[in-house]
Amino acid sequence: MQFYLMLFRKTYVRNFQYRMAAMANNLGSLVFGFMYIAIWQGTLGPERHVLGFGQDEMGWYMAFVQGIFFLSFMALPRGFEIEESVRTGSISLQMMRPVSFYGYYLAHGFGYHAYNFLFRSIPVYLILSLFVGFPSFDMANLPLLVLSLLFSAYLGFLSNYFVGVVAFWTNSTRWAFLVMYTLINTFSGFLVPLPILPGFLAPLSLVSPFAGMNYYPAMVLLGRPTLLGVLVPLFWCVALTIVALRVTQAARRKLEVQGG
Amino acid sequence: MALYWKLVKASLKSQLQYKLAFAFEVVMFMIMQALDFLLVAAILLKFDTVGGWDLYEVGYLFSIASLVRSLYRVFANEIHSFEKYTKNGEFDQLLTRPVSPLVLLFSRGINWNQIGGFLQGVLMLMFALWGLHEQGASIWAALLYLPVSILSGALIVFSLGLATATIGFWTVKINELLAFTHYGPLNAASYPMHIYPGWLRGVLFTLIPVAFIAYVPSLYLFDKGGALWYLLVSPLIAFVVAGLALRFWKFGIKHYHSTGS
Repeated sequence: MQFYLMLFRKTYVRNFQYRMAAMANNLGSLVFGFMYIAIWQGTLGPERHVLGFGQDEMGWYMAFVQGIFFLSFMALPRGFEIEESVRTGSISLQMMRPVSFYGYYLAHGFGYHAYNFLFRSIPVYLILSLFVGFPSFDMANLPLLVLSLLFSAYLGFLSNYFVGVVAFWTNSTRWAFLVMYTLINTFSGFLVPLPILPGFLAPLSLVSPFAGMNYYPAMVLLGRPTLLGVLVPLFWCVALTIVALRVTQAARRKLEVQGG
Repeated sequence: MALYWKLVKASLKSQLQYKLAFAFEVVMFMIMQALDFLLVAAILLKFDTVGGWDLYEVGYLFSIASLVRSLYRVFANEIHSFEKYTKNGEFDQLLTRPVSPLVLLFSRGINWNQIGGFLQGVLMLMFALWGLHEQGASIWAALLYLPVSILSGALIVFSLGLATATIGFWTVKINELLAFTHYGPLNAASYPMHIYPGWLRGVLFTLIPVAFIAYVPSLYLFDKGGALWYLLVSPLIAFVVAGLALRFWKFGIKHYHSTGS
């Protein structure tokens, strides 16, 4: 356990080396944030509503999801660069270590998450909120908000891990990254709250693993927590962990075959 | 020029070596852009307009932005991913050749898999123009202006990319900066500018002038209160921005210090 905590801390600290780059990226994120807020404000105006939300609420929604964008797989090194380790062969050394391969990347991923949350999510959210204001938040929902953020961060980690381990079976993880990016961008509620997606996409997205990344945490912030908003991400966190561990086992066997 | 076309053909051939991976990426880029638009379409189908612009008008802005972004990524991807040259000291090699580094960068890699974004842009443009035509709007001016629009838009995107790459001579790393100079602005150019707050509009008209890619000409083309001379402004701005970016690039090369790796 101590090893994982140390790895978590080292990854967190290492990020400080690139703080200027992170700040430049935050600027870009602010452009996106203002853009999405403007799209909704330009659409709703002072009178229209979506799901009972007016332009103020949609401004808060957009500021929040832009902030927690940094808990998504987009803010992690692509597939934890497992592809490079497979290509260079250093993966065999990693697999030989007396620590869990999955646990290693989990600690690594949350080291990034911790840095990103403190120095990217919070500043971006606060700056956007200076323009759109803050929602009146019921503090009784705080534990639920923390829980939904943890779900979001864990799902972000899992999506990146899956992109990475694909490298054991294919030459490039680029295609897996593109597929994941497309699914998350569309079905996580990043630009559009999920219930207004057209046709069957709305109910489908609400029970997908992606909904727990943006939509359900945002609903908690806006004072609309639901049981489904807890159960769906919880189910996917558990189910996908089992899948990830199985895939890791399969990857280990695959590597043994290659290295034989 | 003949040499350049030879290199273009060679890069296509090499990328077609992995036909399945190539086809997959082309299709993925098409789907990605289609889904991007689907999200906006979901909003517009529910509310009819964004800032007074309907689905087809926004579709036109979206498609032009997609077309110019894809063209830039197909033909000037090395400029876009210039960080590897500054970070790994690879730029030194280009300086030792008897040809301009910029020409070398152009000829080094044609990123054909991004052509999917271009094809999707064409489909989206057809959809937008067809919709506008069905609504009774005249689309002939937009069709005639299309080559100018694409060329000047691509030149603006290229210039922003070149300026960002030049900044890399001092900062070494530029990938994170691209969110501010490429990804964010190009997405912003897919929507009518007047929906943005004043300061952001100011940035998008001056420092990062993506407003001239599609929005400004559209004000005239779709009778949104623009004047005929708006059609001249975009190419003019494109040439000015390209001139400035080139001067900045040359200035950057003069002051370039290798990373020494």
